[in-house]
Amino acid sequence: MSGTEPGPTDESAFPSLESGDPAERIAARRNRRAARTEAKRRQEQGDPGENLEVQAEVRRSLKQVELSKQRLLKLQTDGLELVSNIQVAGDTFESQRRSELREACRLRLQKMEEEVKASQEKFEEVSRRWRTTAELQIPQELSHAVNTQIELCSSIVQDKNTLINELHQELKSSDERYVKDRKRQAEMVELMVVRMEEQIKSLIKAYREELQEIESSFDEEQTCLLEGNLRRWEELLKGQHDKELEAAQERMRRKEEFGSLLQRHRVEGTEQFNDVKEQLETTMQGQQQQLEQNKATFQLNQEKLEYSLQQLKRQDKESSVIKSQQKRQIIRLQDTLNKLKMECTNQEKEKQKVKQMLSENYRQVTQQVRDRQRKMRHFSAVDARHYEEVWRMNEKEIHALVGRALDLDRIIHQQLLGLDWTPPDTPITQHVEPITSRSHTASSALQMAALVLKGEGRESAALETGGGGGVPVKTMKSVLEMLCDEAGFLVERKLSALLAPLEEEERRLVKLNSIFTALGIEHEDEVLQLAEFLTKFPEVTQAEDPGPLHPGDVLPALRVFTARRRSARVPAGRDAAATVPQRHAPCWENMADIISQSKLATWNALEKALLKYHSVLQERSRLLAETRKVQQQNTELRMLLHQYTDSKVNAEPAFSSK
Amino acid sequence: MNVAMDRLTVRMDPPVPGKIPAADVRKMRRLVAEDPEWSLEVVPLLTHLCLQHIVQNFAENPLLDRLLPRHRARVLEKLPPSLPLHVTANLISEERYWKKCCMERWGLCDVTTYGDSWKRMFFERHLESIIELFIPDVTDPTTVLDMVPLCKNYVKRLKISQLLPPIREPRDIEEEDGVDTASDMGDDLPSIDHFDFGILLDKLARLEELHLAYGVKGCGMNFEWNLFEFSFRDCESLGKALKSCRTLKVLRIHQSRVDDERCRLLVTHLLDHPSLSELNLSHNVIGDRGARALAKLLNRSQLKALNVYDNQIRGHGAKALASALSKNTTLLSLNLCLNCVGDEGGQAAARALLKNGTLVTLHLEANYMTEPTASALSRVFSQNTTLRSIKLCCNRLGVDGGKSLEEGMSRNSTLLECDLRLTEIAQESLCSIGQILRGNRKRLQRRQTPEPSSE
Repeated sequence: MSGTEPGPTDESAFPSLESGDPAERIAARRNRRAARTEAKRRQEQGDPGENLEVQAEVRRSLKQVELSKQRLLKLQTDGLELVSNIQVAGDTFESQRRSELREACRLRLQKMEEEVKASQEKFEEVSRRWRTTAELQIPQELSHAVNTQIELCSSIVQDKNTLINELHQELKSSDERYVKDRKRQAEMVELMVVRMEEQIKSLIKAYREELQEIESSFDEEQTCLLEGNLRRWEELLKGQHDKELEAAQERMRRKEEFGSLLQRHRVEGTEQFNDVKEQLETTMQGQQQQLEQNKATFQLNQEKLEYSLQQLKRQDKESSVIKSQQKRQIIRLQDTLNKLKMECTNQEKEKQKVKQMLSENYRQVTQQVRDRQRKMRHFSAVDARHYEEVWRMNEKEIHALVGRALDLDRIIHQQLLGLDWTPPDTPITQHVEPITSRSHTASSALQMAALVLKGEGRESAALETGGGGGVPVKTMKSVLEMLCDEAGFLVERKLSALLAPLEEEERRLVKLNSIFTALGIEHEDEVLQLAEFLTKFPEVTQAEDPGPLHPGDVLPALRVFTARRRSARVPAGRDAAATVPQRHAPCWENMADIISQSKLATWNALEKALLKYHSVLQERSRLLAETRKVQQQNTELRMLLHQYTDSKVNAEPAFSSK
Repeated sequence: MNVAMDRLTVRMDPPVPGKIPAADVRKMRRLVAEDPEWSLEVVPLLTHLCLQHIVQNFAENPLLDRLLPRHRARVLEKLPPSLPLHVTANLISEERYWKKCCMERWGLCDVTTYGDSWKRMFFERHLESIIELFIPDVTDPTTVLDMVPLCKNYVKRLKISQLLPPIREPRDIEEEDGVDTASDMGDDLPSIDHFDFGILLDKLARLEELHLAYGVKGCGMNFEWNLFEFSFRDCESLGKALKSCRTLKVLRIHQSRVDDERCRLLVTHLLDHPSLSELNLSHNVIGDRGARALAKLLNRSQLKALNVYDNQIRGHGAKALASALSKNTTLLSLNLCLNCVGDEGGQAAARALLKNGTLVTLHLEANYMTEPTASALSRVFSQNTTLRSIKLCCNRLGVDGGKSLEEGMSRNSTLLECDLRLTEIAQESLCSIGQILRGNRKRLQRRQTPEPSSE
């Protein structure tokens, strides 16, 4: 748009679109719209003059260039024409010359042909004459003819010579002409060169001029543009200047405003400052007084403090002395402490050792005791067995002896005496129990308890054989269970913990085991005794309500039981061995008196008679033996005689001998 | 300079001006500006010595490709132009070296006509000089053939301005003295053949232009016609050579007295040539038969320009050419200047131009044409739209002819140039024709100028 506008420089005068002022921007837009409508109107009206002018204005330099180009082209073509004119002229000359040459050639040829024709005629005539002359016989005539022939020939030759001369002339002239032509051509060439040079010069000159003109046009255009730009620039500058001025004024105004404001503020400030200052001065005086007081107290305090400091220093010194002493003491005590500690540890160690040794000893001793007890039990058992065996053996022996004695008595009575035999009235085969039968048959308390707890059938039989009395199995079982529950304190604590995973029955069994060991119950009867005691306990104590034992009474019952047992155990153990022989003595006496005194007297008399009889019998047997021997000798001699007689050998000698 | 001086003075020992006056002027100086080789170092660098050695022994041991680029440049700078060509030809492509060679050999040279390649220039001119100084039967053909492998990659154009004839025995010269040189009498004479191009052309793989002149330059008073003899055998061998040269584009045989027979012979060899586009046979003696042969050639080749300036073509030859032209679609320029075509040929040419749609330039100067041709051409002006330039100078077209031309021109809008000098046309006609031409030119310009702006 600025290109087509006549004055783009005017734009700066108009309000700018980029202006900061909104009013100015609105004005600028309005202007632009007006300019557009104006331009459109102009275009519609067909106002080409201005446009063309603008075009011309803008393309002045280009036009100049065009003009220069045309002019130079014209100059060049003109120059070319000027130069080529010579060539054309030369060509013309050449063509003319050629045509002339051709014409001359033609003429020459014609002439020569005529000449040839003429000379041919003459030659023919000459040759014809030669024939006639050959016929001539007369020398004069012949010479005449020869002469004429010579004349003719010479005329021919002359003709030829003239022709040759003419041709020579022509040659010469053409040579001259050639030289002339050459000269002319050389001149033309020179002229051409000169013209070319001129042309070159003029062309160079023209080019220079045109160049200068183009340059000047460009310069002009440039200056024009520069001027326009400069003007615009100046206008812009002016606008800028105005703006700056305005801004400066504004600044001045504001400066004054701010100055007055500042002044006011300053006055207020100074007033405030004075007030504050006075206030502060009064406070300062008060504080100074306070300061004086403080100073005095400070002095006093200082002196006091100095004194106390001295004191403290002294104390400090003393205390340091004491401290050092105490330190030394502490060290000493520390040493003794350490020593004592060491001793203590040593002693502890020793004691530990001793303790260990003693405990070891104790263990060994207990072990030994246990071993002894076990041995004792073992030996007692073994002794009892031995005793029983010995007993049985003796009894058997006795029984055998008694039997034999009775047999013998019977035999004596029946066979020898012939009397009726009556067996003695005392039972000889009565079985005598050994003393240790009780211990042998009784099972251990634990086994019994297990049986009780397990089943009832067998137990009842066992109880009956045990002869424990009337304690039914059921009550026995309940009693044992109660004992198990109530006397838990007798069981070791560890054991109960270990027993937890076991079954109810087993647990009870193990518990009972430990309770029995604690109470010292070993045998079945003792268990029975205990059970009996416990069932009858309430009667013993209260004798009122014979119900089942109350769990709360178990403990006192046990206590009473153990106390009784302790008192009862010592005598019970002694008379067990003493009572046995007393009980068996009559038995043994019976055995000894199985053969009575009367019988014995009989036996003694019988014996005497028998002994006499025996001696008679012995005599008889001896005689019998003598008889048998003589008989035997007799048979033998018979035999020998027989043999002798029977044999043939012996026959003759026998005869002989006979 | 000052900086360099300062640097140098810092590096040098303290200068001793005046102490040893004029013992050695060079030693006195801090800097020897005129000597490009001058160096501060007293002991030259080993590399420099090596490079110097390489330069000195370059002919025996050409080391170049294996050098570093900067060393190579240094060596090339120092190489003498006198090195044998078989060493340098295919090894050095540096233009500066060849420029040095050219300058040393020929002085001031214009390299722009050689495609701005000094190497091409050197080899073309070198080969030209060898051929121009080649004397048949005396010079060994190997001198030429030896050059072929060296220069075949660089030669594009050969401008042979002279070809020396073999040296004759004096007897022959005496015998031949009176003989008409135009006749074909070389056959029974001892060889007068020139250099045989058959050995050369098929080997120059890049040859595009060949300019020949069978003649001797500057013979002065030793002029003899047979120095300018273009023998039949020459023609034969040249024809074969041209046929073998498949890259040739421009052929120019001028001032060589090429007559009809030789022209026909050449044309038979040039028929169907794959690349020939310009044929120039100016300043010869070609007549109608030769012109007929050329007419045949026009339609059996890619010729774009045919120049038979200054020959002896008459009406019949011109007719043959015109009939060929009427069928031709490749020829852009035809020059029949300085012949004797006459009205007969002119009218034939005008008729051909009515049919032809490709010819742009036509030269018919000095052809003895008159008014009938002008009236025929006026039709051409009004109908042909491809012709841009026509030259009719030195023809007696006359006032009437001028008028008819003016009439024809008035209906033309494409012709840009019409030379009508020395045609005896009236001034008014010339003016009006000139105005029309200017108008045409302006129109063309106007048509051309918006194009670049629209781009």
